[in-house]
Amino acid sequence: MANKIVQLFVKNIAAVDKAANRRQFLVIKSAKEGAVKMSKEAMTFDEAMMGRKMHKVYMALSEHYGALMETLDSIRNSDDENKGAAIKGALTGYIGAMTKAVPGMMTEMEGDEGKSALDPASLITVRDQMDTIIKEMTMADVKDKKAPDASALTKMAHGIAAMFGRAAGATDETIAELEKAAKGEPEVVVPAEVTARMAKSETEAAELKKSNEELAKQVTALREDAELRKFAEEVAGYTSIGLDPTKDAALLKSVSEKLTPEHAGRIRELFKAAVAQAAASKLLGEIGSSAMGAAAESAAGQVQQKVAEVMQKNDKLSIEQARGAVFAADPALYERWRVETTVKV
Amino acid sequence: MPIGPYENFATCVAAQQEKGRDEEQAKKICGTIEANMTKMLVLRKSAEEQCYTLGVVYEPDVVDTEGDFAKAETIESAAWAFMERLQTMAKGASTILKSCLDAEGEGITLDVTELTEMAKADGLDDQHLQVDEPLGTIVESYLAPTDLDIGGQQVKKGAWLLGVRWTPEMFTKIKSGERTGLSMFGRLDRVKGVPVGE
Repeated sequence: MANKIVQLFVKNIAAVDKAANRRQFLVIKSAKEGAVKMSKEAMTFDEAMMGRKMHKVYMALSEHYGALMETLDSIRNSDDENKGAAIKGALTGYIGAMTKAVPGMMTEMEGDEGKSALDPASLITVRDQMDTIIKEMTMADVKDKKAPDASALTKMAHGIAAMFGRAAGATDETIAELEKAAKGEPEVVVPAEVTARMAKSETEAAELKKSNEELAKQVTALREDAELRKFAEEVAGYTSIGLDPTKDAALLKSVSEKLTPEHAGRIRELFKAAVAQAAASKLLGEIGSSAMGAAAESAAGQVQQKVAEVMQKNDKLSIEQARGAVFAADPALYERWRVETTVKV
Repeated sequence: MPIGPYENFATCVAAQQEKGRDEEQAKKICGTIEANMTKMLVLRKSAEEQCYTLGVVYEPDVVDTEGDFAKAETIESAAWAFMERLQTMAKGASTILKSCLDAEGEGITLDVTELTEMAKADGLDDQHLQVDEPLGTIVESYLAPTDLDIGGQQVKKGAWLLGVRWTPEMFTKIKSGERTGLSMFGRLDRVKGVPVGE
């Protein structure tokens, strides 16, 4: 017993993967190959039963898939500003509906041993069709700068295809194929030549970096030497108070760098004052020890000589008093002495 | 690219404007002509290759995977109605185009009752997805006058056979085995629980 069709209106005729009439194309002709005969192997009863079951599953899948595609097309052609969210909503609804429908499909296929209840090619076709639509949608939306995240959508699409496969008992190999894009970014294959060039460039860059660092060190050392020489020259002016240019240039440099400018300047003033004090003490020491301490032709020598003469005439006068008398008697000598002995501070 | 009898689109628009149509009307008319010309070019290209299949749409007294069967006379009626409808739509489209070209600046009235159907008048589909774009051209549609042996396969008398020249894209799917046969889409009335053949 069967259902007899009594009225039939055909709107269109589709090329399909599994025809309900169980017929395959009788003849296929292409330009180069000519006529291709189709297989005429007889179908077994089990194959016929499997065909019936698969057809029901296929139709159930097609209904859901068709509804999803209709929704996505509608979103693509809409003025919706947030198409990404709308697509996500559609996919969520699709997953929900499929989750409910899959148990029924599983029941339909119960009793069949092993996996691969669904044709893996069909699942892969579904996945590829979703990819194509997502690509087209992305291309269309790029014009409006509202492109959804194609990568994320593609992953979702592949994940859905894999879900079908898993639910329908596809082989591990098929599921792995379907999940390839869902698990992450596709593997990028870099040609060996490019890899070698990249490695060479990295080596050259590392060498260049090392060379630059060495040069930078040399420049820094040269700058430090130049600065130390500058400070050594300055310290040379303070040798009279016990500073050693070879040892204390770094000390003065440190003082200049680490102290405030005011404090460093004050230390220099103290150094110079000490130098002046040392110079004056030396002068006085020479005057007190020997009349020959200073050159006779110098102002200091003349002052020493005249102070000695005044003190010989009046032994009650101190050196300072005698010198004051000398300077008072000879202002020109005083002026020469002052210039000669003044230390600029 | 030539647009019908005109050298290019601009020439077509100018000619329509000379006939008294405004620019918008002229562009619509030329766009319609161009779309039809493009479709013809596509079909001509695919015709250079064969891209041909011959398949069974339905055969009498054979239960399909849905548990249905049909008598030869039901199939015959459906096959004839299908082809008549396609040709009626083609004639309608031709009439509308001719009316547009011959309007000579006067207003024309279109009956758009079946315009949606006309937009997809090749009668073909892919996986019942109601695909809008052209998929091919039906070049043969006949009812087996007797039992046949085609390529070693038995075909019953009264079976509806369809010869199609597909677009290269569709034919690629067929050659790769993604599409293996034909399936009809439409409306039907059933009587349940009938012995096959009665």
